[in-house]
Amino acid sequence: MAEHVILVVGPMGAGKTTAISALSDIDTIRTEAVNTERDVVDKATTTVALDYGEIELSPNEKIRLYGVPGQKRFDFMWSILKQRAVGMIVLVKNDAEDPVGDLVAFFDEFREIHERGGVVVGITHSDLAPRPTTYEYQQIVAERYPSALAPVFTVDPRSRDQLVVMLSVLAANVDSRAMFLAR
Amino acid sequence: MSDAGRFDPALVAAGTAALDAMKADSPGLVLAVLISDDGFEVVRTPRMGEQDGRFASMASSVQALSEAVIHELQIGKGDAVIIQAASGVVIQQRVPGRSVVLSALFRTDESLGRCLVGVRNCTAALDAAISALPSGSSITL
Repeated sequence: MAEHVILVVGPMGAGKTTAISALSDIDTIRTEAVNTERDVVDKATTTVALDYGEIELSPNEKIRLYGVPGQKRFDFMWSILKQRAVGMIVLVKNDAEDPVGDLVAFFDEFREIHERGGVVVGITHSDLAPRPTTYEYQQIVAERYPSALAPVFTVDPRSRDQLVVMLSVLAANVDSRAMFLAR
Repeated sequence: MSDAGRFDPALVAAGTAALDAMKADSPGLVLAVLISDDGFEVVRTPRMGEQDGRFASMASSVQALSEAVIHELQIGKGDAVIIQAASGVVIQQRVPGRSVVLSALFRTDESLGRCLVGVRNCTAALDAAISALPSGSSITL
Protein backbone atom coordinates (compact mmCIF):
# COMPACT_ATOMS: atom_id res chain seq x y z
CA MET A 1 0.00 0.00 0.00
CA ALA A 2 1.29 3.44 -0.93
CA GLU A 3 1.66 5.76 2.03
CA HIS A 4 2.03 9.52 2.03
CA VAL A 5 2.97 11.78 4.91
CA ILE A 6 0.96 14.97 4.67
CA LEU A 7 1.29 17.96 6.96
CA VAL A 8 -1.56 20.22 7.96
CA VAL A 9 -0.10 23.65 8.59
CA GLY A 10 -1.40 27.12 9.27
CA PRO A 11 -1.78 29.71 11.98
CA MET A 12 -3.26 29.11 15.40
CA GLY A 13 -7.04 28.80 15.20
CA ALA A 14 -7.23 27.92 11.49
CA GLY A 15 -8.78 24.52 12.22
CA LYS A 16 -5.86 22.11 11.86
CA THR A 17 -6.72 19.90 14.85
CA THR A 18 -10.39 19.90 13.87
CA ALA A 19 -9.56 18.95 10.30
CA ILE A 20 -7.35 16.02 11.27
CA SER A 21 -9.97 14.80 13.71
CA ALA A 22 -12.63 15.01 10.99
CA LEU A 23 -10.48 13.20 8.44
CA SER A 24 -8.91 10.47 10.49
CA ASP A 25 -10.06 6.87 10.41
CA ILE A 26 -8.38 6.25 13.76
CA ASP A 27 -8.56 8.01 17.09
CA THR A 28 -6.27 10.98 16.65
CA ILE A 29 -3.27 11.67 18.81
CA ARG A 30 -3.46 15.19 20.18
CA THR A 31 -1.10 17.30 22.21
CA GLU A 32 -3.32 20.13 23.29
CA ALA A 33 -2.59 22.47 26.17
CA VAL A 34 -4.48 25.23 27.90
CA ASN A 35 -4.12 28.34 25.74
CA THR A 36 -2.79 31.33 27.66
CA GLU A 37 -2.80 33.50 24.54
CA ARG A 38 -6.52 34.19 24.56
CA ASP A 39 -5.70 37.76 23.56
CA VAL A 40 -4.24 36.41 20.30
CA VAL A 41 -6.76 33.69 19.48
CA ASP A 42 -9.77 33.17 21.70
CA LYS A 43 -9.79 29.38 21.98
CA ALA A 44 -9.46 27.22 25.04
CA THR A 45 -6.65 24.95 23.92
CA THR A 46 -3.76 24.92 21.49
CA THR A 47 -1.57 22.21 19.96
CA VAL A 48 1.97 22.25 21.36
CA ALA A 49 3.67 19.33 19.58
CA LEU A 50 1.59 17.62 16.89
CA ASP A 51 -1.70 16.05 15.92
CA TYR A 52 -1.70 12.68 14.23
CA GLY A 53 -4.31 10.83 12.25
CA GLU A 54 -4.60 8.33 9.41
CA ILE A 55 -6.96 7.93 6.51
CA GLU A 56 -7.20 5.38 3.71
CA LEU A 57 -8.17 7.24 0.58
CA SER A 58 -8.45 3.92 -1.25
CA PRO A 59 -7.55 0.29 -0.55
CA ASN A 60 -4.13 1.07 -2.00
CA GLU A 61 -3.44 4.49 -0.54
CA LYS A 62 -2.98 5.50 3.07
CA ILE A 63 -2.33 9.03 4.27
CA ARG A 64 -0.54 9.77 7.53
CA LEU A 65 -1.63 13.20 8.65
CA TYR A 66 0.46 15.36 10.95
CA GLY A 67 -0.78 18.68 12.25
CA VAL A 68 1.81 21.18 13.36
CA PRO A 69 1.52 23.83 16.07
CA GLY A 70 0.56 27.15 14.53
CA GLN A 71 2.84 29.37 16.58
CA LYS A 72 6.32 30.29 15.43
CA ARG A 73 7.77 29.47 18.85
CA PHE A 74 7.18 25.80 18.04
CA ASP A 75 9.10 25.94 14.76
CA PHE A 76 11.44 23.17 15.94
CA MET A 77 8.45 20.85 15.51
CA TRP A 78 7.99 22.22 11.99
CA SER A 79 11.60 21.29 11.18
CA ILE A 80 11.14 17.77 12.52
CA LEU A 81 7.83 17.07 10.84
CA LYS A 82 8.56 18.51 7.42
CA GLN A 83 11.48 16.15 6.82
CA ARG A 84 9.29 13.21 5.78
CA ALA A 85 6.33 15.05 4.30
CA VAL A 86 5.55 14.88 0.61
CA GLY A 87 2.67 17.30 0.70
CA MET A 88 0.83 19.80 2.84
CA ILE A 89 -2.53 21.33 3.40
CA VAL A 90 -2.25 24.99 4.29
CA LEU A 91 -5.25 26.18 6.26
CA VAL A 92 -5.76 29.93 6.44
CA LYS A 93 -8.25 31.62 8.73
CA ASN A 94 -9.96 34.20 6.53
CA ASP A 95 -11.11 36.38 9.41
CA ALA A 96 -7.59 36.73 10.79
CA GLU A 97 -5.90 40.11 10.84
CA ASP A 98 -3.64 39.31 7.89
CA PRO A 99 -4.69 36.05 6.22
CA VAL A 100 -2.58 36.67 3.12
CA GLY A 101 0.46 37.28 5.31
CA ASP A 102 -0.29 34.01 7.10
CA LEU A 103 -0.48 32.15 3.79
CA VAL A 104 2.80 33.60 2.58
CA ALA A 105 4.53 32.91 5.89
CA PHE A 106 3.61 29.22 5.83
CA PHE A 107 4.36 28.86 2.13
CA ASP A 108 7.81 30.32 2.73
CA GLU A 109 8.44 28.28 5.88
CA PHE A 110 7.45 25.00 4.20
CA ARG A 111 8.83 25.85 0.77
CA GLU A 112 10.73 22.58 0.45
CA ILE A 113 7.50 20.59 0.67
CA HIS A 114 5.66 22.37 -2.11
CA GLU A 115 8.82 22.34 -4.20
CA ARG A 116 9.30 18.58 -3.95
CA GLY A 117 5.70 17.44 -3.45
CA GLY A 118 2.32 19.07 -3.44
CA VAL A 119 0.23 21.66 -1.66
CA VAL A 120 -3.42 22.62 -1.40
CA VAL A 121 -4.81 25.67 0.35
CA GLY A 122 -7.95 25.60 2.47
CA ILE A 123 -9.60 28.87 3.40
CA THR A 124 -11.54 28.54 6.65
CA HIS A 125 -13.97 30.93 8.33
CA SER A 126 -14.88 32.44 4.95
CA ASP A 127 -18.46 32.61 6.20
CA LEU A 128 -17.24 35.26 8.66
CA ALA A 129 -14.96 37.05 6.20
CA PRO A 130 -15.70 36.55 2.47
CA ARG A 131 -12.57 38.42 1.33
CA PRO A 132 -9.95 37.64 0.22
CA THR A 133 -11.61 35.29 -2.24
CA THR A 134 -10.18 32.01 -3.47
CA TYR A 135 -9.37 33.76 -6.75
CA GLU A 136 -7.37 36.42 -4.94
CA TYR A 137 -5.43 33.73 -3.10
CA GLN A 138 -4.80 31.91 -6.37
CA GLN A 139 -3.39 35.09 -7.87
CA ILE A 140 -1.08 35.63 -4.92
CA VAL A 141 0.20 32.06 -5.04
CA ALA A 142 0.69 32.20 -8.81
CA GLU A 143 2.65 35.44 -8.56
CA ARG A 144 4.85 34.49 -5.63
CA TYR A 145 5.26 30.76 -6.20
CA PRO A 146 4.98 30.17 -9.95
CA SER A 147 6.28 26.61 -9.68
CA ALA A 148 3.69 25.60 -7.08
CA LEU A 149 0.52 23.99 -8.38
CA ALA A 150 -1.66 24.98 -5.45
CA PRO A 151 -5.43 24.59 -5.73
CA VAL A 152 -7.34 26.85 -3.35
CA PHE A 153 -10.57 25.74 -1.68
CA THR A 154 -12.92 27.22 0.83
CA VAL A 155 -13.40 24.57 3.48
CA ASP A 156 -15.18 23.88 6.71
CA PRO A 157 -12.59 22.00 8.78
CA ARG A 158 -15.40 20.02 10.40
CA SER A 159 -16.53 18.63 7.04
CA ARG A 160 -14.91 15.31 6.24
CA ASP A 161 -16.38 15.34 2.73
CA GLN A 162 -14.86 18.72 1.87
CA LEU A 163 -11.53 17.73 3.35
CA VAL A 164 -11.43 14.41 1.50
CA VAL A 165 -11.84 16.28 -1.78
CA MET A 166 -8.89 18.52 -0.88
CA LEU A 167 -6.80 15.59 0.24
CA SER A 168 -7.57 13.57 -2.89
CA VAL A 169 -6.51 16.47 -5.08
CA LEU A 170 -3.33 16.82 -3.06
CA ALA A 171 -2.53 13.10 -3.27
CA ALA A 172 -3.05 13.18 -7.05
CA ASN A 173 -0.73 16.18 -7.34
CA VAL A 174 1.92 14.48 -5.22
CA ASP A 175 1.73 11.33 -7.35
CA SER A 176 1.91 13.34 -10.57
CA ARG A 177 4.92 15.30 -9.33
CA ALA A 178 6.66 12.08 -8.28
CA MET A 179 6.06 10.49 -11.69
CA PHE A 180 7.24 13.63 -13.46
CA LEU A 181 10.43 13.83 -11.38
CA ALA A 182 11.11 10.12 -11.89
CA ARG A 183 11.22 10.49 -15.69
CA MET B 1 12.91 35.64 27.92
CA SER B 2 10.58 35.25 30.85
CA ASP B 3 6.91 35.62 30.07
CA ALA B 4 6.21 36.22 33.76
CA GLY B 5 4.18 39.35 33.01
CA ARG B 6 1.41 37.27 31.45
CA PHE B 7 0.87 35.22 34.60
CA ASP B 8 -0.68 35.85 38.00
CA PRO B 9 2.02 37.59 40.09
CA ALA B 10 1.17 35.26 42.97
CA LEU B 11 2.00 32.27 40.78
CA VAL B 12 5.27 33.89 39.72
CA ALA B 13 6.19 34.57 43.36
CA ALA B 14 5.35 31.02 44.40
CA GLY B 15 7.37 29.66 41.50
CA THR B 16 10.36 31.85 42.29
CA ALA B 17 10.40 30.70 45.91
CA ALA B 18 10.06 27.02 45.02
CA LEU B 19 12.77 27.11 42.35
CA ASP B 20 15.16 29.01 44.62
CA ALA B 21 14.61 26.41 47.34
CA MET B 22 15.34 23.59 44.91
CA LYS B 23 18.50 25.33 43.76
CA ALA B 24 19.67 25.65 47.36
CA ASP B 25 19.10 21.93 47.96
CA SER B 26 20.52 20.66 44.66
CA PRO B 27 24.15 21.57 43.94
CA GLY B 28 23.96 19.78 40.60
CA LEU B 29 21.05 21.85 39.35
CA VAL B 30 22.05 23.84 36.28
CA LEU B 31 18.70 25.27 35.24
CA ALA B 32 15.11 24.98 36.36
CA VAL B 33 12.20 26.49 34.44
CA LEU B 34 8.55 26.53 35.36
CA ILE B 35 6.53 26.57 32.15
CA SER B 36 2.90 26.84 31.19
CA ASP B 37 1.41 23.92 29.30
CA ASP B 38 1.40 25.97 26.12
CA GLY B 39 5.10 26.71 26.26
CA PHE B 40 5.59 30.01 28.03
CA GLU B 41 8.13 30.53 30.76
CA VAL B 42 6.63 31.47 34.13
CA VAL B 43 9.90 31.72 36.05
CA ARG B 44 13.42 30.29 35.96
CA THR B 45 16.49 29.86 38.08
CA PRO B 46 19.11 31.11 37.54
CA ARG B 47 17.43 34.25 36.26
CA MET B 48 19.97 34.81 33.47
CA GLY B 49 20.25 32.56 30.48
CA GLU B 50 18.37 31.79 27.33
CA GLN B 51 16.54 34.77 25.94
CA ASP B 52 14.15 33.49 23.32
CA GLY B 53 11.90 31.11 25.23
CA ARG B 54 12.89 28.20 23.01
CA PHE B 55 13.57 25.81 25.88
CA ALA B 56 10.13 26.51 27.36
CA SER B 57 8.48 25.73 24.02
CA MET B 58 10.48 22.53 23.62
CA ALA B 59 9.75 21.43 27.17
CA SER B 60 6.05 21.99 26.52
CA SER B 61 6.17 19.80 23.40
CA VAL B 62 8.16 17.09 25.19
CA GLN B 63 5.66 17.04 28.05
CA ALA B 64 2.69 16.84 25.69
CA LEU B 65 4.25 14.07 23.61
CA SER B 66 5.16 12.12 26.73
CA GLU B 67 1.63 12.36 28.05
CA ALA B 68 0.31 11.29 24.62
CA VAL B 69 2.52 8.18 24.78
CA ILE B 70 1.33 7.41 28.29
CA HIS B 71 -2.26 7.75 27.14
CA GLU B 72 -1.67 5.63 24.04
CA LEU B 73 -0.02 2.81 25.98
CA GLN B 74 -2.48 3.09 28.86
CA ILE B 75 0.26 2.85 31.46
CA GLY B 76 -1.42 4.83 34.16
CA LYS B 77 -0.73 8.21 35.65
CA GLY B 78 2.35 9.99 34.37
CA ASP B 79 5.12 10.84 36.77
CA ALA B 80 8.36 12.19 35.38
CA VAL B 81 9.98 12.59 31.99
CA ILE B 82 13.71 11.86 31.98
CA ILE B 83 16.10 12.82 29.19
CA GLN B 84 19.55 11.47 29.98
CA ALA B 85 22.53 12.65 27.95
CA ALA B 86 26.31 12.50 28.28
CA SER B 87 26.65 15.86 29.96
CA GLY B 88 23.34 16.40 31.63
CA VAL B 89 19.98 15.07 32.71
CA VAL B 90 16.68 16.84 32.09
CA ILE B 91 13.79 15.90 34.34
CA GLN B 92 10.29 17.20 33.85
CA GLN B 93 7.28 16.83 36.08
CA ARG B 94 3.82 18.36 36.04
CA VAL B 95 2.76 20.24 39.14
CA PRO B 96 -0.04 17.91 40.26
CA GLY B 97 -3.38 18.96 38.83
CA ARG B 98 -2.04 22.20 37.36
CA SER B 99 -1.34 23.44 33.87
CA VAL B 100 2.29 24.12 34.73
CA VAL B 101 5.33 21.89 34.36
CA LEU B 102 8.74 22.01 35.97
CA SER B 103 11.68 21.24 33.71
CA ALA B 104 15.12 20.98 35.33
CA LEU B 105 18.59 20.35 33.97
CA PHE B 106 21.13 18.70 36.27
CA ARG B 107 24.81 17.93 35.88
CA THR B 108 25.57 14.24 35.61
CA ASP B 109 27.55 14.25 38.86
CA GLU B 110 24.24 14.52 40.67
CA SER B 111 22.67 11.09 41.11
CA LEU B 112 19.46 10.48 39.19
CA GLY B 113 17.70 9.62 42.41
CA ARG B 114 18.64 12.91 44.02
CA CYS B 115 17.54 14.78 40.90
CA LEU B 116 14.17 13.06 40.95
CA VAL B 117 13.69 13.78 44.63
CA GLY B 118 14.57 17.42 44.08
CA VAL B 119 12.04 17.77 41.27
CA ARG B 120 9.31 15.95 43.17
CA ASN B 121 9.85 18.06 46.26
CA CYS B 122 9.71 21.20 44.18
CA THR B 123 6.49 20.31 42.36
CA ALA B 124 4.91 19.28 45.66
CA ALA B 125 5.95 22.61 47.19
CA LEU B 126 4.54 24.44 44.19
CA ASP B 127 1.26 22.59 44.47
CA ALA B 128 1.01 23.45 48.15
CA ALA B 129 1.93 27.08 47.54
CA ILE B 130 -0.60 27.47 44.75
CA SER B 131 -3.30 25.80 46.82
CA ALA B 132 -2.63 28.27 49.63
CA LEU B 133 -3.09 31.30 47.39
CA PRO B 134 -6.40 33.16 47.62
CA SER B 135 -6.82 32.46 43.93
CA GLY B 136 -5.37 28.96 44.28
CA SER B 137 -8.41 26.98 43.33
CA SER B 138 -8.85 29.00 40.16
CA ILE B 139 -5.24 28.76 39.01
CA THR B 140 -5.05 26.36 36.22
CA LEU B 141 -2.97 29.19 35.00
